[in-house]
Amino acid sequence: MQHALTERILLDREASLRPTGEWRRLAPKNSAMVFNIQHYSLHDGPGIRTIVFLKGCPLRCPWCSNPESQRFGPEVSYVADKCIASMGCDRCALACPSAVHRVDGDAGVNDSATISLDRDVLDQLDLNAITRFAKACPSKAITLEGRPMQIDEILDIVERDEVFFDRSGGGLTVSGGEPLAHRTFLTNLLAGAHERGITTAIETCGYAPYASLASAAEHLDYVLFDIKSMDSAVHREWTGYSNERILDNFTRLCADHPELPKLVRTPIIPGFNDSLEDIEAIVDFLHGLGGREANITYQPLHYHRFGEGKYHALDRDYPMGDIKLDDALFNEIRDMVLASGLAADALYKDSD
Amino acid sequence: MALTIKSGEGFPKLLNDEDVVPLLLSKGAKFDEALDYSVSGCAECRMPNRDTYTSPNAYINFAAALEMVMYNGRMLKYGDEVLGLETGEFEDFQSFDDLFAAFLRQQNNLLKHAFIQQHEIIRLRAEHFATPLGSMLQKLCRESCIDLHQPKIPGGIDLGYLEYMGFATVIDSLAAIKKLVFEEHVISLHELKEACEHDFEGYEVIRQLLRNAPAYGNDDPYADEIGKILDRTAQEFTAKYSEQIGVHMDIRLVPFTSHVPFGKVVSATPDGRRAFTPLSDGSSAAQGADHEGPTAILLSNYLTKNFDHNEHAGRLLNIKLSPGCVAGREGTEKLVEFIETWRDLKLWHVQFNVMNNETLREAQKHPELYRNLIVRIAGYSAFFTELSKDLQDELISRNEQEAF
Repeated sequence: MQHALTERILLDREASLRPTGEWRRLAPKNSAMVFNIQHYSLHDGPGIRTIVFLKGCPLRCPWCSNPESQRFGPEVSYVADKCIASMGCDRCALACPSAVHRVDGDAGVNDSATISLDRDVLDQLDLNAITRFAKACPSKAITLEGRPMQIDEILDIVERDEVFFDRSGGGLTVSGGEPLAHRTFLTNLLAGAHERGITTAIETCGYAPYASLASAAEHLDYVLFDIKSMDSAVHREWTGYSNERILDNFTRLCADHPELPKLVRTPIIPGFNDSLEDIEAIVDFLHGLGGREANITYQPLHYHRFGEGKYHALDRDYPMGDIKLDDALFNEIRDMVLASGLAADALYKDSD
Repeated sequence: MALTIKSGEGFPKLLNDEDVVPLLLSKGAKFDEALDYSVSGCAECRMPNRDTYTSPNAYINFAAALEMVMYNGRMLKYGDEVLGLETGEFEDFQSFDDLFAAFLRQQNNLLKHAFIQQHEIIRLRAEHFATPLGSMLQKLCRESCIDLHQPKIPGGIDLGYLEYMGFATVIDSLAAIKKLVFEEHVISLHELKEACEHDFEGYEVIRQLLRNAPAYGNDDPYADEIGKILDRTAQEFTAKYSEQIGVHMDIRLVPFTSHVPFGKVVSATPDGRRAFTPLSDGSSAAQGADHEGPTAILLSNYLTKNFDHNEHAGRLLNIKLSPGCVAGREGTEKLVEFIETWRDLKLWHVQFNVMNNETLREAQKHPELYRNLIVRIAGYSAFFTELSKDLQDELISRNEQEAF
């Protein structure tokens, strides 16, 4: 990975952590930024689950398939294919004239007109203004990523799926971004779910003070924990932080909560960790923590670039380009994991 | 069974004893008769030797009733001929409640005419039709020496039904009017009507606002509560008049393919549907209106049913799944759990269309028809038709890798 990219990642992380604009002040008390609530989620814990995606992440993995999750503040996506500027729509420009540049089509022909957004202007808008701006779009070409929600408001929505949870053993999964970045809110959300009889899980990159993980774990039935690489320098170069804290957190979690089911996952990324040795190192680490005894299962995830369109919608470049993961290598890794005794249920085919 | 569904052939269809059996019991069947029902046609459940219903049923175009509210009893295709009730000028409605009440009057008016028509059909059928062979094979007819086409057969149970055409089209239209006109005041009834009259040509902003208003199929109470009232009002009508005029017709949502020709007479509707295009299909969401996935579709279906009424018949529900939703051993288990929940919700019927790569290629070519096809990958979600061609191809090749 080029040094320049690492620098860009770090700059972006800095920018996102600084509370620009007024969104923090205007968000209601005891709320967190939610950018999606996804029903019928099948790959994010046991059973049929409902995922609440909280906004903001300390890491900047270039392969991230949810780039809209990375920054803490609200932002807008713009999908040009859905835009009807060419059909006479100018509602976004009316809502915030300085944020929208109209790009007219050839030779005054209006039917190929499109727009571009001024991100610097949008970044300065307060929460109400950016919400109004996104809402002005009739065709959902512009959508708001992130709106503040309170715990009961979230749980009222999640609870509607309870009939599916009851049958499937599913429940609430809090994902992100990084859920542990919202420590108090997360703990209260998980506790609130338990009060309503809803089982809980989180999807975490593991990068947080251990206290955040420890307080969440008191109210967790399942953890999906990412361990991306055992190589600290490589980890730092690609994600912005080294892996010591992550590995330490996981080690302590296993010691403090041996009974808690932990699914460790690794996205297999070309150039980053795409070798049998890299993944074997992770498997060895997990065995060292007790493996099945500590209720650990493991799943490598095939790299995909389905998030690419979302980068463009945020006016960002897709950092990974069109690189692909070698399928034969992934199958080799899968076979190794199956043989390790730690393989997660999700790795098995009907024919296995 | 889940493995068969996963093979992507579209079979089998599932019918739910939890809905069917209590309904048949409430209609007077004995327990063993109710359990012994057989499936007939698309999604009808009939009891050999108890069920005596034979006449063709009424298909009622309720999207047309909606148009009659917009044009004071008239429809654009038929000019100035008054087809329904003159419920007043569309622009003059002062509240959503008034407008909704006008729709229900139009709905009841169509029901009334269907009942009158059916009354005549039953009378004429008894006079002109006979089915000696069929009657000989039917136990009750044999015992009473009476032809199957006679209206009253001792011991028989009449499971007649009528078809509620355009269920989601009507719900979504009313929800859009309620939200955009009466709550948010984004558009006026006048502008809405003008846009519909012009089939949205030059009114794309309004069409998009309508398309993105609350819609049936998303577990959104805003829309589903309207649907529940439509269902209840229709069931109350049939409960009231069935016995009075000797016509029994329960409310059914199984259109076969007739939502296509029925759509051909209905001009543009306030859900953003273009003129003379298909109406919504059975109890499914309107084309492209559902965006919350299959659990929301089941819940909307459940929440628009009136379980305290028994004047209902089948509800047809088709669900499309992408292969990633059912891949592997875990996918099989989760499909079983989904079906079990469908059973718990006491929904009548479901049929799954697990997209294979061939159908995904079709979805690439006709994205409008597959807008609700969700893609599920760990930690990531998207709609298939919103991916670029390049990424769709990649997904298809992944399916070859992972599925089954």
